Amino acid sequence: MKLSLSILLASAIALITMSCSDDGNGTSVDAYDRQAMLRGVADKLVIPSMNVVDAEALRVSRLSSDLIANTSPSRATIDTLRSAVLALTNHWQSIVTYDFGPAEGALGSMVENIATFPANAEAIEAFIISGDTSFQNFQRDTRGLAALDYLLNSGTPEEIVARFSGEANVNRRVYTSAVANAIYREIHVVATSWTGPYRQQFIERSGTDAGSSVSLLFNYMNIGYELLKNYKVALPLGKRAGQAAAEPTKVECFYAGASLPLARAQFDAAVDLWYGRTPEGDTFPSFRSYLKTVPNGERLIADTEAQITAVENAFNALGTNTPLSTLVSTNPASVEPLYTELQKLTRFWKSEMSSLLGISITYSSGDGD
Amino acid sequence: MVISCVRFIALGWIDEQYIQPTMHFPYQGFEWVVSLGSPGMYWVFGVMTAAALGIMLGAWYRVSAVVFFLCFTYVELIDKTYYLNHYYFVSLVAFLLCLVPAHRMYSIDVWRRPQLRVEGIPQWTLDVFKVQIGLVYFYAGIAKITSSWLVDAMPLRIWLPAQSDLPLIGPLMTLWWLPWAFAWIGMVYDVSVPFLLSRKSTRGIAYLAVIVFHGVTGMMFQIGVFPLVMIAMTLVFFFQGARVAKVVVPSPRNTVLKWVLAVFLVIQILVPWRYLLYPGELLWTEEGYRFSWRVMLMEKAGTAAFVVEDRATGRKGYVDNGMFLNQHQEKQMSMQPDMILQFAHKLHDHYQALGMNDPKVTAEVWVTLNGAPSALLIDPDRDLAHEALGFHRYDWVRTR
Repeated sequence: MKLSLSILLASAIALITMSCSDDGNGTSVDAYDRQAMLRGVADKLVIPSMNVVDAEALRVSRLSSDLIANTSPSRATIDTLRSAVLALTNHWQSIVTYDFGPAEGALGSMVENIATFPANAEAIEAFIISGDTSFQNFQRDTRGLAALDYLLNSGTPEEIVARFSGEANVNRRVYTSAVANAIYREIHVVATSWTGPYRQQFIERSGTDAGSSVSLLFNYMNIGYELLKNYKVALPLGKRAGQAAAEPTKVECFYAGASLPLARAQFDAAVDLWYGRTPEGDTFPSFRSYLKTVPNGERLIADTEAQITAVENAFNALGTNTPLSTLVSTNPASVEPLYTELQKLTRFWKSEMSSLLGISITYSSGDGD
Repeated sequence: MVISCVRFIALGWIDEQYIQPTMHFPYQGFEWVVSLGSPGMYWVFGVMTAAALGIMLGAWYRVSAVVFFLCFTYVELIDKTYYLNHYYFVSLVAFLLCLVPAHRMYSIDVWRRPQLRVEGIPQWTLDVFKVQIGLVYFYAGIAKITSSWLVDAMPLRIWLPAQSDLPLIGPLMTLWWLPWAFAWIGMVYDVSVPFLLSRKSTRGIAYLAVIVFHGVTGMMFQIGVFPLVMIAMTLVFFFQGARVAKVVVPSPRNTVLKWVLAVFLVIQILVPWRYLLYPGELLWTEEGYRFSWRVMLMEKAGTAAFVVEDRATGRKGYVDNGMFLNQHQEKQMSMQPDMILQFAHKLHDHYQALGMNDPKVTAEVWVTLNGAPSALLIDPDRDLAHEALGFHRYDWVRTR
C-alpha cells in the first residue's frame, strides 16, 4: 500500500514539476494548430466559395426578375438565364459540405432548401396555375435548383421559350423569379454570416468535442459525402435497399443532363478540403496535414489518397458526354464501379480519420465513459 | 442525481434518444422493455427526478428509492447503445439504496415521524457501498494492465493531443510522455485507491487523489456527471457504522436480506470475468465487455454498410443506416457485433414487410481499434437475418 502511494505521489510530483519546467518546445510532440486549419478553411475555401455562389445566385435572381415583365423573351434571353443557373448549380457543389452553423435555418438547412431533388413537376405546375409563390409548405421539391432545372430545361428550346411568352404565362415567369429569389435569399444569409460574425466563432471553437468547429467540419464533410454517394449515385443506379430497378429520373439536374459533372464537382470540392488547397492552387492546413502529426496518420493518408485516385478513375471512365440518367438505364454496370469506389473511401474519411484524430463522430453532445 | 435528471431533460436528450429513434437496441432477455414515447418518457423522467429529490431529502425514502431504481434502470434497459459504465453504477447504487435505511437522521421522514430517528447505523449498510465502489475501481484498474494501455499508451496517445485547446492545462496535453504518465497513474490509482481509502492513515491523501483524478478527467473528457458521482460516493469511506447495540433497523440477520446481498456480491465479483468464456480478443469482439468496468480502454470506430438482397430477383441494395438510427446509435452499432445482428434483424423485418420474401442481410463492417488500420469485424458473406441472438459465441465475428 505504501508503495502504491509513493508511486502515486512521486508520479504526481514529477508530472507537476516537469509540466512547469516545460518551455513549450522540445518536449512537446508536434502540437497541431487547429485554429490555423479552421482559419485556412474559412478564409481560403468557404468564404470565397460562398461569395462566388452568392454573386451567381444574385445574377440568376436578377435575370429572372427581368423576365417577369418580358412577354416575348428571345431564345437568347432564356439561354442566358439557363446558363447562369447551370453555373450557379456547378459552383453550388463547392459549398454543399458547409451545411452547418448559419446554414442551419429554422425551416430546414441550406442544402435541404436549395438542393432537394428530383423536382416535382406536377406540384410545380399546380403552384404556377394557382399563382402560389408563398413557399409556405415543406414541398422542397417544388423550389430550389431542381425546380429551376425543370422550369428552364424541360422540353425543346422552342417549347420553353413559348412557355415563358405572352400575358397568359406571367405566372410561370413570376414563379421562376420567386424560386430564384428564394435561393438567393437563403444563400445570401449564409454567405454574409460567414463573412461577418460566424467566421470568428468558427475559428475559435477549435476543440475536438461534439459541437466544436473541427467536429462540425469533419461530420459535415462526411454528411455531404454520404449525400453524394447515396443520393446522387446510388439512388438513380437503384443501389439503395428496397429499390427494384434503376430510377433514371432521380438524378440531380435531370433536365439539363448535367448530373455527372455536378457529382464530380462535389467530389473535387471534398478532395480540395482534404488536401487543403483552393481550385486556384493556393494551399492551407487541412485534415491531411493534421493527420501527419498523429500516430499512424501517414498510413491513413496513403490509404485515403489511393482510394481518392480510384474514385477519380471511376469518374473518368464514365466520361462526360452521356448523362447519368442515360447510363443507369442503358448500361448500369458501367456506373457500378463508381458506387463501389465511393463506398470504399467512406471508412477512411469517416471512422478511421475520426479515430486517429480523436474527433467526436456525433455532432450532438452526449456522454461517454 | 436530481441535477443529472434535470440536465438530461434540459439538454433535450429524452426526445433525441428515446422518442425520435424508430428502433432501439434492447438487452438480451429484456426485449419487452420498450420506450413509452411522448409524453410517457417525460413522465418517467419527471417521476425519476421527484424520486431522486425524495432520496436526497429523506422524504418517503423507501418508496423514493425503489421508484428511482425502477425508473432509472427502465430507461437504461430500453437501448444498450446508450450504455455507460457509470449509468450501470448508478443503477447498482440505487438498488442498494433500496435496502439500507438512509433516512433515519436529518430527513423529512424523521421530521414527520420522529420515532424513526436513530443515532447510528449498522456497519454493513456502509460496507456494502464501500465494497461496490472498491470493485469498480479495482476491476477498472486491472483491466488497464495490458500492453496496449501501459506500453503503447493507447488510446491516450490519440485522446490527449486532441485536448490541446483546453484552458490552462491544454498546452500540456501535447507533451510526448504525458499519455504514458496518465496511463500508469490511472492504472495505479484505480487498483490502489479502494485500499488507500479503507485505511485510516491514507484516507485523506487518497480522497485528495480522488478529487484530482476525477477533476482532471472530468475536464478532459465528455463523461457527464461521472466525476461528481464518484467524488461524492467515495465520501462513504469516511463514515463508520455504530457500535451501539440498540440499533432498530434491519440487520443482515434478516435472512432474506442476507441472501440478497450475498447473491448481489457474487454476481458483482463474477460478471466482469465472463469474457474468459469467449475466445478472441475482448476489445475487438466485445463479447463480455459491458458490465465489467472497462473504461477508457479503446478508441474504436466502424463504418458499417448493410446489404439487403431480394432472394427472388438477386437484386442487392445498400442501406442508409441514418434512415433507421440516430447518429449515436449508428456509431455504437457500427462496431459491436450484437447490435449489428439486432439491426440486421430489424432490416430483414422491415424489407420483408415492404414485400421482399425473406431478404438476405449481409454487412461489410470495417472497424478500427486504437489507431490500427480498419479490418473486417464480421464475415461479410454471412446472412445475418438467420443468425440467432444469444450469449453463445458468434462464429460470424472474425478475429483480428
